[in-house]
Amino acid sequence: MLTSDYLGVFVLLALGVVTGVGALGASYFLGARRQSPRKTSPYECGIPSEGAENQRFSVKFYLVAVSFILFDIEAVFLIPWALSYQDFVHSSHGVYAFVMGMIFLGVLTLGLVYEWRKGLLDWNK
Amino acid sequence: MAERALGLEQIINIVLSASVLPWVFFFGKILFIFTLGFGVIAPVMIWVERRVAAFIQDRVGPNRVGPLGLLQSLADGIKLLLKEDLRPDEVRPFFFILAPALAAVPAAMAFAVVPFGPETTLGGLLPEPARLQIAPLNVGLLYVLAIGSLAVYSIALAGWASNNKFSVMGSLRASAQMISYELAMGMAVVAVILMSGSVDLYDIVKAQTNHWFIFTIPGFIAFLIFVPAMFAETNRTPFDLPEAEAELVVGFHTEYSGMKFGLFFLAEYVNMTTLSAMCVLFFFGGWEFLPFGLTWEGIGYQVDQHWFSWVIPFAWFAAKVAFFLFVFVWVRWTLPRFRYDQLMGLGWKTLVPIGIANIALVAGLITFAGGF
Repeated sequence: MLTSDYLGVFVLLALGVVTGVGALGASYFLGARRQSPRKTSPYECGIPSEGAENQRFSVKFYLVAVSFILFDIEAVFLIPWALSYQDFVHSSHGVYAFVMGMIFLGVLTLGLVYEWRKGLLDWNK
Repeated sequence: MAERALGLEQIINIVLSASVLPWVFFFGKILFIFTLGFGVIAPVMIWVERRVAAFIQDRVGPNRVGPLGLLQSLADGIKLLLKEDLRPDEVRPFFFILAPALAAVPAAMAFAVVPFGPETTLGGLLPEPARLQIAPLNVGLLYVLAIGSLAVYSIALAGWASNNKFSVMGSLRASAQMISYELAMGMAVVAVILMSGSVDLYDIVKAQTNHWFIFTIPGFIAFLIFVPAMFAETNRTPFDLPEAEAELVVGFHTEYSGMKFGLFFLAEYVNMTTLSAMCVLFFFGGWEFLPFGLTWEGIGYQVDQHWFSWVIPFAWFAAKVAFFLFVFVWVRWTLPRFRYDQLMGLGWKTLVPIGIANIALVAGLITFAGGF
């Protein structure tokens, strides 16, 4: 049979690259080319652009990214637990699996509550 | 006397031979799904979006190109291809071009694990039942989550490389929004894993033979978390803050035009399709006919009788996906946009806590009530 289950993934990866590069390449060769300074200036609703493009942005975005990493890793840790949960129940270790999962979820919730109380989740503060 | 060219019968014999058929099946699946996704669903959805928008707003919509305007997307595609390949002065050229190409890649890759029909031997042609799935991965669900996360990169890169105030702001918003709702989506998905005991998308559908997860209490709660997350992940109204026209022009793709814009547009519709398919697979029994045990076998339909028998379950699955795609459009032209603090508040303060509670609920139900 086929060499690997993952072969299809790589074929689609190749197809995705071909779609992307092909579309951009085709439009590069087919498109008209009449550039002018007006046309290639940064868009700013019709007026000349003013000030630095890379303005400083709210630190909130950074905080969201940091807490995302923490919570996402914890969600990743939950997946193996969820995956084997029914096996635990069938081998009558359901209560053990439940208690362990709840301890982990409890810590996760504590982290969320802490963030909440510190005002990290209030965008307007 | 000259040898005759390969006759039709001979070609069929070669195709059906044991060594070639698995490959024909393999590439047939890829061709089918890829053409369907990029060549049919995305263009038709763009047309549907415009027509439905028009009907909701009491207009006519595009109806000139082809019957009912169906070929409008084709015409638009040709137009986009022939547009000038414009590159504004201030951009970072390499990343500016990379970003739209990068949008197309995860969109295509996510299709690899979407199962679109029951296991089939093509009516006995294949030696053993094969899956109607391009890559029959046992980690399908994790793969979809992983590839889905990659979409953030193209948007973040697009905004940063554009070097434009609107673009930077839009891509920052988009990144923060997508990662926040990915968390909520992850919580909903953990509940689904708990209920099905598998991350294999086929097993998740099989686990719903007797009761679709939407008709269980934790499944319904997970669905309520999943749907807003689905809208936020694809940056669609009511969560289209990244491209809020009134404030940010069009956000992260302000500087993009022509086919570069076209790729972002295409990727959005392909991602909508993937997520709708996930929603159907997680909560609506995939290609199964009706809930509560009324499967195809249950009503006496043999899904593996002829080589084409899988088409009916596939069409049923496609109809379910089409419904969710329609909901995407319907919601877009019905609901107003959220404010950004409301958006982040909904994600972190409502959906994530409910998601955590739902995981505890379903775990408790399995252990102490013997089921959900």
